[in-house]
Amino acid sequence: MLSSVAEVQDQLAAGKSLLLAGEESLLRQLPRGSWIGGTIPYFMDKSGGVHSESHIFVTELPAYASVVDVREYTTATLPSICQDAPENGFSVLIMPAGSPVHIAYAQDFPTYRGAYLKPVVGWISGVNVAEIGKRQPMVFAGVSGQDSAQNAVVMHVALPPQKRAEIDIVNVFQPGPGDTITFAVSGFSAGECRINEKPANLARYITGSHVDSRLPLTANYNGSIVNVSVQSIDEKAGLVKFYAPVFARVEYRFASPVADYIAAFNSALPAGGPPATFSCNCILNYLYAGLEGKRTGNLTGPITFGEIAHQLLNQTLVRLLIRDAA
Amino acid sequence: MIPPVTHSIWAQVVTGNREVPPSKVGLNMLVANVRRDYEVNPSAASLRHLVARMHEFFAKYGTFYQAELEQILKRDTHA
Repeated sequence: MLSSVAEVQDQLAAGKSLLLAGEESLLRQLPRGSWIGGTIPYFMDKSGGVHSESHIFVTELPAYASVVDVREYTTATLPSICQDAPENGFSVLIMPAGSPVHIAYAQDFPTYRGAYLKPVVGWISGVNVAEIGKRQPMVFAGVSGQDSAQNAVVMHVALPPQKRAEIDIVNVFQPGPGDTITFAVSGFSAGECRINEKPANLARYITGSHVDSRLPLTANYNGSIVNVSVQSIDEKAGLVKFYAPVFARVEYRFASPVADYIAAFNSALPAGGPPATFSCNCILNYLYAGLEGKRTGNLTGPITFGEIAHQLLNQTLVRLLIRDAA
Repeated sequence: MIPPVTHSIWAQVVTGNREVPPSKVGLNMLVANVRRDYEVNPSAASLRHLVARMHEFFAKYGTFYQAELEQILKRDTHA
């Protein structure tokens, strides 16, 4: 929930373990303690989507969860994230948008030792969209008092044997009926591709076909739909930049339009189950679907520059659920 | 009971010759990624590595993915 700096200070003084999101100037006022945080001024709060530069969004870990480690990761150490995680628990990862760790994790996570075996959930920190390029997204490690615009911060959390962490995604987008797009090379940008198996240029295809580039590219991962959002299109250079990498040999299609995001979201949200221990949603959903003031079920959390449900996602709501193992 | 890593079903899963029912996002991503890795590098060494990854997942979470495992194994009775 959104809290004042003083309220967060009180929670830390009481020994709570916290996941925090907020303006850099607010996070800098916090004492050392069992917390990690990242910069962002957009949130889903109980009352709906909100832009706040005066409050911090607080996710308090349940009392039965034990923080076993908080550490910074560089591009050199990030591949060991799953090996460093507890056998039963989860890891919360926050990375600054555009940082070397953001790029490396997005492209290489599927090859990390232990990937998908231990739950890694998290988000990409950002800034006010009016200040993109002017200010740097940051992450904070409360235990050490360190901050970084280059490295990742991770909280490794252990659970008792009778509890089990599970990651879930809520994606309102479905692959559309249009062309199938594949890439020869993985990466955050692409020009040359194959469309319905014929050589083509993606930038010229998007502009020429009047594709709504606010809709993500979607890929079907054995039933889970994974989005990659378009960041920019340079028709002259024939280059499209993405907010997450496309992968070679994966088949993509642009998503079908979503007429009513809230209705589609409520329809996609599974009924029942435990409340989310942590959740986050994408800044592009917030902007494109006009989520300010609108509620996405009972889910609250930061609105982010990328969501992590094991691997990096775009335009997707991510939930961490803790279930009874029995 | 999780079939041993040497059981042929794991290789069939990796090569796409045995379906894994759509499940939770972690398993779905793992299945999609090991199959893509195998397409990129279909060598025997790669297959052994990817089979080990699939088996490791079910060895760790078999209790929680019993329904999926039963679905995977069920095809044996129809083969």
